[in-house]
Amino acid sequence: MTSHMENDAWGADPDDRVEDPEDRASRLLSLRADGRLDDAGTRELDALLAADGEARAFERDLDRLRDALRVDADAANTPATPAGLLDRTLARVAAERRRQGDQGRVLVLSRGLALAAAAILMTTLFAFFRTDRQVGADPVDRQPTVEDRLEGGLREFLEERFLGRDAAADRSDAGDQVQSEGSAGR
Amino acid sequence: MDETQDDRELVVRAKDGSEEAFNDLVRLYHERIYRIALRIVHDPDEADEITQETFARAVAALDRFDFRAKFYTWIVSIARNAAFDALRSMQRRSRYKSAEDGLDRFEGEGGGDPVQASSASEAKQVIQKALGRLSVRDRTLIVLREYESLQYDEIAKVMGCSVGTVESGLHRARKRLRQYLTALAPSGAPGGGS
Repeated sequence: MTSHMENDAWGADPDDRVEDPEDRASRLLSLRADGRLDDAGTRELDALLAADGEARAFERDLDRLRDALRVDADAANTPATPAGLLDRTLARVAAERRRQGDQGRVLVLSRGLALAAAAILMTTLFAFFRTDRQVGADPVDRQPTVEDRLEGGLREFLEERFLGRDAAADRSDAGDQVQSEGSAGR
Repeated sequence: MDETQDDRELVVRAKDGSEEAFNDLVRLYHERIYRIALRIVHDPDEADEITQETFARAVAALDRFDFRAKFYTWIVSIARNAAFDALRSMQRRSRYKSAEDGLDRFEGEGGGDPVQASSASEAKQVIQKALGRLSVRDRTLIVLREYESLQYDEIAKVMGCSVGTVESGLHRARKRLRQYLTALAPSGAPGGGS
């Protein structure tokens, strides 16, 4: 028998989870109506119908219901389509095709613009880095600035004040040492 | 519904860009799509709009149709989505108070004198009213199975669910339809004694 429960995107219906014996009979009848009941299911249904008056009543009602639906579904009873429906539908389809065509053109245009923008950006970046490299490689004779002099003066002051070093004396000591080494050699 | 070789060739040509082939498919299926839409939404104007929308969506998505399902099943699944979207929109606009409101218009379309109505048309009205009381999901299942004679696997594809869910859903829908018909039918029996 094909009966099985599965939850999916629809979500579970409370009716799907709880099945009492009466429900079982109506479920099997529903399956039989659609030609989906196997031999085991048929035997089970026969047993239920033999034992259960409610199940037999459901069987009769289901037969009537399906007859009524068949009559209603009959071509003679189907509602006529409104006049001009085909023309309106074809016009709508044509409009949708035009809209798709326009969208396609806009897409191609925007892709082209994006490519052009990317090319311009790449060219600009290339030119920038090339210029930057040239500036960096250009040898510039760097002269001491006011900041350099201030920094040198500050360093001398700090060494003198905290290290007890006399920068000027260091410089003259270094000169004397060179002189004495020279006279000793002589 | 069996898909003929001609249908398949039309679909192949339409996918290759033949506008005439797609227009032939529209000619072939628009009436059936309209009837399905009408039975789901019970509003002729909305069914008209859904039919147009269905084929507009189909022409936009035709590249993605891969022949895993029949073309008819595929187009019915688009119609079902369009119908559900329309119902949501109708509810938002508060035009859709209940399916029976639209049903009255649908029944009025056929003309005829209600006093002279035959028992067959009375039975039809009872059936339509009972269908209108079903939830949209249950009604769609009944329409696809009983009116369009789709197989369970085709219904599952249309509804985007499993075959097991179709089976449970049809069972539930029939039980509820039986209850409504018993309450509505003059004779107290489903189908109004037709």
